[in-house]
Amino acid sequence: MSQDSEDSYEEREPRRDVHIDSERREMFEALQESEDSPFYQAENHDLFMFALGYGRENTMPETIKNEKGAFFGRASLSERQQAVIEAVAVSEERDVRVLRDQRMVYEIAEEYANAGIELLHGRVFGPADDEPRRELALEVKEQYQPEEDDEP
Amino acid sequence: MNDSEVHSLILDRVDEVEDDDLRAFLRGVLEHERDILKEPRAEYAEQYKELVDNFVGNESLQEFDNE
Amino acid sequence: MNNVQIFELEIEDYRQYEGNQTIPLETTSEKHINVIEGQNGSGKSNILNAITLCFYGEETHTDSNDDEGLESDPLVNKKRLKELDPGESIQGHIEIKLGKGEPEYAFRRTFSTARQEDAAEGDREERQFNSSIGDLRLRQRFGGNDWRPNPNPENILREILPTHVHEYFLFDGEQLDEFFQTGYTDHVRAAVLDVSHIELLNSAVGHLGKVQRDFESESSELGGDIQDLQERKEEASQELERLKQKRDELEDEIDTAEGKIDDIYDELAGSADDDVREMQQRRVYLEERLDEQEDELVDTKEAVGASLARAGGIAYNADALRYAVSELEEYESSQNGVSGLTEELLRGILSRETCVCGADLTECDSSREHIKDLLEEQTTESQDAIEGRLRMERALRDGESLIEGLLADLSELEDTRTAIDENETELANISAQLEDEDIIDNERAQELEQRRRDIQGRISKMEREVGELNGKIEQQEDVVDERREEWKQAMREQDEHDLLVRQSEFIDSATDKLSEIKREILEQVRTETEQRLERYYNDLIWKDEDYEVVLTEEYEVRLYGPDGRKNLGSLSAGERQVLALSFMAALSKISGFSAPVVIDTPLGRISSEPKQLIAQNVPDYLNDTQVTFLMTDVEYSEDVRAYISNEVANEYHLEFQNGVTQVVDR
Repeated sequence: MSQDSEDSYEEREPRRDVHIDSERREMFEALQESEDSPFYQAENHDLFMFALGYGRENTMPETIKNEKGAFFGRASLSERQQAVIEAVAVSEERDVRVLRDQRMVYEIAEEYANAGIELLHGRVFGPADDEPRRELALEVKEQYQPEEDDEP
Repeated sequence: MNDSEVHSLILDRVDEVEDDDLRAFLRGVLEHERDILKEPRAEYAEQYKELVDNFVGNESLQEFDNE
Repeated sequence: MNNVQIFELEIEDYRQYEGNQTIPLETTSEKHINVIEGQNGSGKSNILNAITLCFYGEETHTDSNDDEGLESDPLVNKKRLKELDPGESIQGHIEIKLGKGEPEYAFRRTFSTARQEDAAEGDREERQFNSSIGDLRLRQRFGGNDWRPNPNPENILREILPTHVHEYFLFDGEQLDEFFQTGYTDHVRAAVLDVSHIELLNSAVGHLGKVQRDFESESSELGGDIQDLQERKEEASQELERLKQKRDELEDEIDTAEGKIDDIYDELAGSADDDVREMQQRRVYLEERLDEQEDELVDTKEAVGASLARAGGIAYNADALRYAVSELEEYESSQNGVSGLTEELLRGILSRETCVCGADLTECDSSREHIKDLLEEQTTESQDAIEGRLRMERALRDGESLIEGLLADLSELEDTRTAIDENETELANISAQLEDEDIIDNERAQELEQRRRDIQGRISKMEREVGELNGKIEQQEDVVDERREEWKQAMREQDEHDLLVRQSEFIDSATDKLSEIKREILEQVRTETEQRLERYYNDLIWKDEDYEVVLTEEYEVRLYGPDGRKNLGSLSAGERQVLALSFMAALSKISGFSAPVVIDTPLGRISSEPKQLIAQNVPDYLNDTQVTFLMTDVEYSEDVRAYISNEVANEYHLEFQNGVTQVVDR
């Protein structure tokens, strides 16, 4: 196996922390601190995972343009959440071998979360939704069990 | 614990300050505050100014950083 | 006894206590409890009053059973007063001897009652008396029997048990019940701030700020730009002060207004009209319930925040999970085909020691090593892949329960919201009914209710103003910072002004450090109080279960039993009493003062079964402190007595006969 794929993905360890765009930190914080926000007091890593998913569903990954800031230690993620991040990378690259490059795996996650948080912030604090909690919950339910076949 | 002294909770932390001058200054201020609580006096201003002059304006503070 | 204790309490002609009565109260480490037992009305509570009268010049216990209130009764014993003619007076006194191993201080307070000219009351002549209280005096022992006057009794007392913390050492068990009523978080906050000397830090920071501005104002004499910058800076600071002052004033006004509403509530609660009383009672209950519900609402929002984030993290990525799982499955099965070198094959080769190509592996180490390496890589990689896939499958399955959890939390949120709405509607109804003369035929009630509504309206308006002011204050603080920076810049550019800048920055670091210390201490005291509170509660409570007690950053007390959170309002009187006693114990420990504790009616509200169970734990309660209990005969049952007898150093009974109390050794 190592024979035919040495040139695909470099074997790299993931970084200790997971990062976000330092200019977008305020968006995360606003979503966590406002009592009206559906994500009131959500933990950094949990909100990150949501933003990641939301970004995947609604837009393209966005490279972090400004300074990166550590948002939480990778160890805060549960095993399942780490599995999700790996799955996202596999799905993005259409190749399981990306899992060798753990650094890239997390960068992909960071870029999706980066895109997702901006959208999410606009959604929650924007004029549209009256009851963002319920709306988002229903969307979440639908996403988990969609009617049609999923094609990422 | 004597009420005439500053609560040890506070003093213990002041003692942890590494900067000698800052530490001594803080002790001075807090002890004076303790005295004021016992007998209100308006003299703190002069006293504190003297203390500050004592600790700043020293040759040894040429490299004084503000942290 | 390492702590300060009361050696002796001497009472002369104080209220029920005729003549001179001395009560020895010395305790040891092994026997740290005193009990003074007497029926209600026998003068039990006046023992506590005697102590606070002596130390602080006030009697802090008011008997809720007493219609007249102590203020109307003369201080000197009534029997003795009969001897008086108009114009004459009698003096009494209270003396308390304190010390650690031995008596060191004797605090004494005299008081007197004078008889005045009789007043005509209908067809009778009523005797008139007037009482007054003397100054606190102190004698100090300098070895042996050498007692000398000390001219600073207040200073010495402040070192042992200052006024502001004495409530945690000398208190009425029955009044504790009020401790956890509405608005208690303010009491709790005040108590914690009290014991931690925080006011010292606040005051220091305030003074340093002023001194700093004095220093900086010297720069206005330097003329030119610097003078302008100094003036702008000063202007901004003054504006900030103004805003803060306005806010503080509003907050005071809000407090006063809330006090007025409390008064109105009291009056409505005491109305002669049954309907009015009932409605007011219902209202008070609903308001307490509303507070709890609003807390629940916040808690549930937090729960939803967590479950939404977690469920969404899985759900939005479910498609990626499914895709990755199937890709990994394919990869695993393809591993066997691609290189043709399955794990099985490799292991087979190694055990047979012969390669498929016929080479003898025993002869060639490097080949064997190579095959071992391949095997290891193979197994690690396929193991990783399998593990990875399994984790992803688990994550995917989790989605189900996470979403269920989310929907359940949302339901709860909506239920709480509905309950709050219903509650608010009912409250509005009550208010409307009280004002409706068709429903409540009571002019006074209508008047009061209308006033209440007006005041409440004002309060809401003021609260909004405070909110706005806080926003402006935050902004103005930024403006002040900016202008200081500009000034500093200009000052630094000219070396000769460097000194002033350094002085100013020195003060900055001092202020920062003090603020930091304040935050740390408050946090430390809060967590220590919480830990002790939990420990004492579990020690005293008669249940087998373990309770968790939390003291939040907003100084709210939360109690968690095995079935979850227990609302303070739903605790039995006994449970609340135990909680309050624990709180007192916690604060007295943390205050840093090692003073004796005197508790009037500690077990008054507790029914007999739990009382005995608590009594079993009482010996451990503050077991390194002298504790004096003033109990009724009902509290001090034979069972309770048996439980604590090993720890009791002194036991007294108050014999009340013919209006006079005698202290008798049991």
